[in-house]
Parts: sequence; C-alpha cells; structure tokens
Amino acid sequence: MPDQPETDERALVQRALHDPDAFEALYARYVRRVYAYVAARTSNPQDAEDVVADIFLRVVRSLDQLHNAHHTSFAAWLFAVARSAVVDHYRRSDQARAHVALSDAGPLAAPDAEPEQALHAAEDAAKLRALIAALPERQREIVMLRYYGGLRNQEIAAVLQIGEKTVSGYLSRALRDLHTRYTLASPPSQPDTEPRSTPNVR
Amino acid sequence: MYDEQQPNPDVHLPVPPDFEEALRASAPLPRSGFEAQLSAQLRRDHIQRRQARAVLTAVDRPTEAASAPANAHAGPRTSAPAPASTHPTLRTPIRRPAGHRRSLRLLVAAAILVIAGGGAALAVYTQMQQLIQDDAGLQTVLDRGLGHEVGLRQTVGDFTVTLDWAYADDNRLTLAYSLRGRPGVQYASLESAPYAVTVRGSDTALSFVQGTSVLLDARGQVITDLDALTSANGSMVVRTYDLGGLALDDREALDLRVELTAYGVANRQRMLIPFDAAPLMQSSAFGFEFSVPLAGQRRALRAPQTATAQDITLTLREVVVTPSQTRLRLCFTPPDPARQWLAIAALTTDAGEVMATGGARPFVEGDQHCQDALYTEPLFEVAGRWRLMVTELVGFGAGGGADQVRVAGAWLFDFTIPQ
Repeated sequence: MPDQPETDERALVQRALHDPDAFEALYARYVRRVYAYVAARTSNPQDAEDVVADIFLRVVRSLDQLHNAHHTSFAAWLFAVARSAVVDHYRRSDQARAHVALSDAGPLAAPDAEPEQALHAAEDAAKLRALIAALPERQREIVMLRYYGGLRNQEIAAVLQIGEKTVSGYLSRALRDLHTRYTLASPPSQPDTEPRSTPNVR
Repeated sequence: MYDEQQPNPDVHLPVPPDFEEALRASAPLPRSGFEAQLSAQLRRDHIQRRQARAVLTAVDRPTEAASAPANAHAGPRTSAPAPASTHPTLRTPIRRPAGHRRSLRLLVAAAILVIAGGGAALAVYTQMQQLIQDDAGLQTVLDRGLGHEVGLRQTVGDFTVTLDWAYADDNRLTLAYSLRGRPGVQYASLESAPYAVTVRGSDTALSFVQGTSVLLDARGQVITDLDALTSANGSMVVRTYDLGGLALDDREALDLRVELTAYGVANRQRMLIPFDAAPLMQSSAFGFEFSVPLAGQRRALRAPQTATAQDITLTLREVVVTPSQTRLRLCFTPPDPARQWLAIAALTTDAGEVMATGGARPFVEGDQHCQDALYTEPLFEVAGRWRLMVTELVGFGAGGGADQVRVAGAWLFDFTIPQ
C-alpha cells in the first residue's frame, strides 16, 4: 500500500491532467530537482534552461500516458523523460558526452549565509561537483539522480531500468570514492578521534 | 535544497549524513526568474492543450463553448496570448567533417606506432582519445601530432608514474601521465593528488583548469565494464592548465616542474576491512623537471576595441587563436564593483555560431572586471569576419542564486584575425 505522500502525489497528477493549478503545484515541486540534474549534465546554464523547458513541455503533452502507467511513480517517470531529453539534446547538438564546467554550473544555494561562509560553501560545492563529474558515467548518473533529483533507489532503478540492488551497489561505491577523494582534498582542521562505524549497505 | 522533498528512506549508506547533505547542497540552481518564466509558458501550453482536447471531444459544440473554462481557476487565464514558440531556439554549432577527422586519427595512430616501434605509444594514443573526446581543440592537437611524447618515468614506493605526453601553446598546457600500482595488486581506486605545476626559474604556479582520468587493466586497456567489481592496475590522467595569464614573450619552450602524489586502495583491503578504517597506500611525492616546446602556430588580434551600451563600455582587449583553443579577453568597469560580473557572449564566424565549449573565466584587474571567453572548437583555420556579441552582463552577489543583477546589451565587436 503506497504511503501518504505517494497517494497525495498520484491525486495531484490525476488533477494536473485537467487543472493548470494542479500542474503548477507539480511543477513547483520538481522544477529545481530537474534543473539541478540537467544543469549537472549539460555544459552551460543556457543549455540547461532549454532542456528543462523541453522536459516540462513533454510532461504537459504526455501526462495522460503516465496516468495509464499504474506502477510508475511520477518522479521516476519525470526523470526518465528528463534523461531522454538530455540524450536528445546531445544528439542534436553533436556533443559526445555531458559534462559540466565548474565556472558554468550556475549559481549555488547559500541564501542565508554570511559572505565568508557563502564563499566557503560555494568552494565546497564546486569541489563536490568536480568530484561527481569525475565519476564513471553510471555512478555519476545515480549520484545525480539521488542527490540532485531527490529520487529513492527504487525510483532510480526504474529510471535506468536496472535492478534496485545494482543501484545500491553503484551508489555505495560512488559514495565511498567521493568521500575518500573529498576527505583527501579537504583535510580536517582537527584530528578526527571519533570512531566510525561502517553499516551494511542495502 | 528542496522545500518539499520527501524523506529518502534508503538509509545505511557508507558516508556520514552531513556528507550526503553537502552533496545535495552542491546542486546547481536556476537563475532568478527562470522558474516563473517557464511556469507561465507551461500554463499557457496546458490551457491550449486542454482546449484542444475539449474541441476534439465536443465536435457538435462551437469553439467558444469548448474554450469555456472547466473550472474557475482556468477562466481568466485562457485569455493569455499564445506564445510564438514554446521551444527555445537551438544554437547552430560549427561542425567538422567527421570522416576527415576519423581518417586523420587513423593516420596519426599509425604514424605513432611506426615512430615508437611498439604498442605502448598506440595504447597511450587510444587512452587519450577516450579522455579528450569532449575537447575538440585537444583532439585537433592529437590528430595532427602537435603534442610531444615525454616518456619520463619515476618509481617511488608502490607506485610508478610515467609522464607520457605534453603540449603547450599560447593559451594552455596539457599533460598526460599514467600511474601504475604495485605489480600483481588490483586496485579499487588509483589516484594522484595533490599536484603543482610551476614554471622553473619564476616560481609561477599555473592554474589548473580541467582534468579527467580513466582506470586501466593489466593490459593497459581502459576499464569500462562497471558491472564487475572495479579492478585496476593503473590509471591515465590528462590535465590542462591555463597559460592566459603568463607573459610568454618570445619563448620557444616552457621549463616546468610537475609535482604529484599517488595513492591507491587495493581491492583486497577494501573487501576485508571497513572502508573508513582502510589505510590508503600513499606514496611519496613525485617530481618531474622537463621542457615543453611552445607551439608556434598562433593568430592574435591585440588592438583593443570598445563598444558601449547602457552607459557601460566593454573592451575587447585581445583575441588569441591557437590550435587547441581560442581566447577572447573582455574587460569593463561594472556598475556595482561589489558583485562578481559575467558577460554572456556569443561568437559567430561565417560558418555560424561557435559552440561555447570552453566556458568563461572571470578575474578582476584593478577596477576592471575581466573575463576570458574560451572556445575549444578548432578555429585556427577559420578566416573571414568574426563577431562577438555580448547580450547581457550578470552581477552575482554573495547572497546565492537569487542574488543577481542583469544588464541587457547588446555590445557588438566585429573583427578579423590576421593570418
């Protein structure tokens, strides 16, 4: 039995078929996640905006297809559309592979921070985005879908059409590598004496 | 970063929760105004499609009736004018004939094989092709044999580093090196960090611009099968450094010192002990001193041009075209110096708009805010008139994504680069 947020979302999707306000609510819920995923896979913010516009226009025009796909969550369906739109974009613009240049990746979230903290946060974020960009393709996509797209492993598996355990394996490997590289690139100011546990990965 | 994000139930991941939070916070945000603009477009599209469906399902009713709102929310908004086009215009990139490039690659690959007299050079060439596939400028350099095989090798502790290849022109320096671990040991991770590249005799450190790496198996083949547990014997790295800020004068070569540290995590270690407790097999630092010839090919326009709009004067200080890159340097006094400014620019030649593949690097020089607009598309042989059009200046404040000021242009520069 689906949990409450999923039930609410299905109802919202159902209403969005006919009601522009419901569609707007759905759009507001996902536009930043989709933008983050696309911006991380395209080479500049202008291209990212073009692709995001294309994705939501596709969604407007094919919401009724989702209505018939009972077993797919809206998020998984939306990001499958997004993934396909990114691939189409690169096919059209003859670019072999999506990548992100640090200077082009767009502004970052740090709305309430002091300037020094904001600068530190921006540097940290840029470092992480560079590390993510350096991951192997499949790991990179899974990390982006999870942390930029906000998808669960089950939804990522649906988007990529692979098993949930495979997603979990790739994700664990990617996170370990990212954390190691991040830690090496940013040595802590004080020695970490806290013992760390390594729980099992699901 | 997401206001309405549902909790993600996939817990028990092998990193601390604050690291996951940092990953989420690194997500790029759209520029201010984009979400609202797209939302308005989508509302119009949604209403139009709903009206079209209503017409199709009520053919015996007049169109006006079909356009009547089905609910109170949609009513007033049906009068919104239809957008001329809801699809953004795609820019036309310059394309090189693929067949020509492929045949050149084959020729160069064969030539390297003959010169080196073995498979090692061909392996390096093949690996580099995979590493630079997003960089058309470096592909041109590689295809035309403009780079230099270096072949310097050092072994320290468990690791051997070979400096394989180097290329330098007036715009950038690119180095390729490979890293091998202890023979017989397979690695889950094999990396090099940190590193420094300095110009000998001047203590000038070169700015790192971009780097990418691949893992290699025991035969030197690039590992692409990620379904199997990654097991590498080595890795290859290509790194590019910015030479735009360096006064090269009439130098014929760059005397360089490269320092790097190698580390790796062996597969056996990773599997037998908790990851966080696994000791990294860290080596001592490597240091290479060598000289790279500077490519003689360059076309440059050094006579500054100005253009004024909105009481802001932009100066196109110089244009430097080399086989690997084209650099256009723009400077201006911004309306608010406290912000970091970026000029949104498009370069066109007789063949169309040049794909903006190299990004833009802003810097401040006195009261002038400058940026190098970079293009990696091969333009060295592109003659005729070029046009740089700056459509907008964007000033980023310290308050994050929404803290932006935008000044619309346009500023136009028409010029010809001497051959």
